[in-house]
Amino acid sequence: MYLSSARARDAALDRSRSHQDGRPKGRARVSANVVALGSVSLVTDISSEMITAVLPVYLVFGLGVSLLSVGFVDGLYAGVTVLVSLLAAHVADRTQRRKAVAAIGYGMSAVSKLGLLAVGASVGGIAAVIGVDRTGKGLRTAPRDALISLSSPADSLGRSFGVHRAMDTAGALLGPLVAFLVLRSAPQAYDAVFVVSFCIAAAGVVVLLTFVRNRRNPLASRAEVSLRAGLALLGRPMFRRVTIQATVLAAVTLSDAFVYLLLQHQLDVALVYFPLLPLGTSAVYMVLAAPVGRLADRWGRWRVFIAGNVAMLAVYAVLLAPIPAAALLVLALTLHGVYYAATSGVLMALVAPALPAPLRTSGMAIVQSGTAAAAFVSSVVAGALWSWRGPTFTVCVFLVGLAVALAGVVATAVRGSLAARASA
Amino acid sequence: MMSSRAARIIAAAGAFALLLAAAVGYVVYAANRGADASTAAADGSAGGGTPPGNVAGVVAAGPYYAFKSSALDRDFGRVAVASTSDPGRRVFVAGLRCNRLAVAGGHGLCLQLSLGVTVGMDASVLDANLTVTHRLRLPGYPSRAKIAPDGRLGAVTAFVSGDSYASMGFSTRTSIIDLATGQVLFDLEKLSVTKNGQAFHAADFNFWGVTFQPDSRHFFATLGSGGQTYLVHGDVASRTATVVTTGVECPSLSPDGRLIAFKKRVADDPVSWRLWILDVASGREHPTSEARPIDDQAAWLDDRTVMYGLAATAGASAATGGPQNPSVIEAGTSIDTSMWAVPADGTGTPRLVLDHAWSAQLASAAADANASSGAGAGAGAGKTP
Repeated sequence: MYLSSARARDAALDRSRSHQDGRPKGRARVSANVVALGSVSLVTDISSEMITAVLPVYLVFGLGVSLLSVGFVDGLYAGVTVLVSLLAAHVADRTQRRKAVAAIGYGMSAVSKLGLLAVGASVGGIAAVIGVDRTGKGLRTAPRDALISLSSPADSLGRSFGVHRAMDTAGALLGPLVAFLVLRSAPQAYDAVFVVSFCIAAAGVVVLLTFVRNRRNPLASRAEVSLRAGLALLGRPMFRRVTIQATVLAAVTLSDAFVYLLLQHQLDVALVYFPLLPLGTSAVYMVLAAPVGRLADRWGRWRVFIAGNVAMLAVYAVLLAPIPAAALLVLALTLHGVYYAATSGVLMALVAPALPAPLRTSGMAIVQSGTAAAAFVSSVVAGALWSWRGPTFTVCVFLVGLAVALAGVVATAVRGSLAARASA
Repeated sequence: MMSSRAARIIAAAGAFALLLAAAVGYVVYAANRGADASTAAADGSAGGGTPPGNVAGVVAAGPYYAFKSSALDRDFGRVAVASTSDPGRRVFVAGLRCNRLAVAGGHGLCLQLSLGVTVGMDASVLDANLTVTHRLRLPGYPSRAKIAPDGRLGAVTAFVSGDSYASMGFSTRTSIIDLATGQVLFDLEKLSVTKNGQAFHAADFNFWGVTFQPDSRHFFATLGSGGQTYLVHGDVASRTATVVTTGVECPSLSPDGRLIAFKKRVADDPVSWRLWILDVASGREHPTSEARPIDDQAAWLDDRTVMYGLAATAGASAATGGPQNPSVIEAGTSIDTSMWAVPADGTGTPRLVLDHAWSAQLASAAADANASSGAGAGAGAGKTP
């Protein structure tokens, strides 16, 4: 009773606000809640990318930790994060307190920045701090995406996710710059980077708590959001199909690290500029995320998602093509950015309508976990292929794999729609 | 009466102001703290400290140590020389800071981390009096540097991040540099490697820790691949290398080319090493009497004595019989270190050579002149300079 009336009030508030602006609601503007969530992501990404940019330097030159031991810190958490995110999504749906679960996630990552100051040179301590940060990230992703989808009208989901992803990526681009400015003002003061990063992350939590509204859905009974009900989501044909498609495609998609390695390999880029390659992808992704999201709303989210994967196929082709270095660089990074703009947010916009509102978080966590696990498998396979036969062979295998997977996905879809038409 | 929404926005604005003040305040505090000289600002600028001295005088006077000063004062990271007859009197080079230093054959190589939009290092090629003749920017974090006895070639190892499949994994990159021109000749990744007579190649090849033979043309280096480390014997001219043995990291050849001091991994601990010696001719290896963990590419004082760096705390705990410092040093810029020496035959006990020093080597202008004149005469391994 209370829940539904609160929701009605929020909706009324949104309506009245859009009327005050003298603009019609709907296509023209993105929900205030989505902008608020985008702002939280922007600020949080500045904070976390600051740390990513300086952590290796800090560990080796600030603390004297051997770089080899840093490698051991990583790779431990992939499995744990997947489990945590599924569990957290279940709790978020069960209590319908998505904002609270997301807030805990953002809070844990903020606190981990101060943790870096506290643990000093202990490798175990640093591993624990990174673990807290990753767990926080695992906790917040699905509740955040569920809130975005529940805050947007069904016909502009793609655009809402696009706006969110654009803001998120802007933060990721700004982070290293802020870290650089701090270290420029206070040379060698890594602690200052951590403190500033903490303050920015804390500001993100404040934005979340102040400006983001929770979205609750009235529950008929607890059974509606039981673990069994969460698993039963995969029994829904549309959701199952998209989850399987996204997972299979993720398994034949080369991870970012490999794409940049290949580019470096093909171009013989001076390694000094190697760290700048991801900025090209991010810039394209940031600019295109919102317009491509809007395109997805109009032209079809599934089509755009498939087109994004075709862009990835084109990345492989470009990497193998004998074209001039400058063209290769621009084409590969642009297509890579298009891939992200057409897949990351669009996938969430694609699955959201297939998920009942009370179970939105669980469903999103299932898709995200599936693709994350597939991406991990892809990295392991790519690493093995690379060691066995080298870079060109690896791209060829992934090119064929992605082409076959795409053909399969499209053929199944066409057959499905033909069958539907025949039976109708 | 204020609405609860307005109250929340005001509270949030207050929180933002507080966080902004904290962030700016801390940066200002950290910047001033650096200027107070209580901590070192090893940012590559000269930045105060002891005035530079007559380096050429020390170099000309006889055998000398060249090293990075690691005392936690304003001179931290600066390059200094000290005569072996008076090692306590350090003479600083003007405006030169290094994370890693190599000096041999009338040349030097100084690697300094430099933080810009991207992380990399400035590699400075130095002449006999340690003044800069060439500068080049290389990717990655400085790790190891060595110079061939004739002073014509140098080798630089860097840790490169982002060049690896794992998000926080690191790989190494080792380049051979022509010290006369200050140009990279080639990366060791380009070597054709053979193992047991067969071509050996894998994408995960990482090379590190080059050491040159007395002929200044052949070298040893560590090759890592598939979780295994190999000692390879390479030839600069033909750009080939052969796997010699396994488990030898950061090799350092004695001046006569007969022994290799190296880091040997402690069983079941992936990041702890001990100082061992390999006999090149027989292939036999044995530990030195240095029982503390080391992470350094050793240098030699003579054909029978190895010198290496340790964290100052490790030295202190050894002196008091306390527990050993488990942390290892890569090239820490904020850690005090000292140089120790131990006999290569496994006897004796470690002795302190230099306090507050890192990356030290023993050099001699007279010996360099001999090495240069002897090079190019087709001298093989084992020739005594």
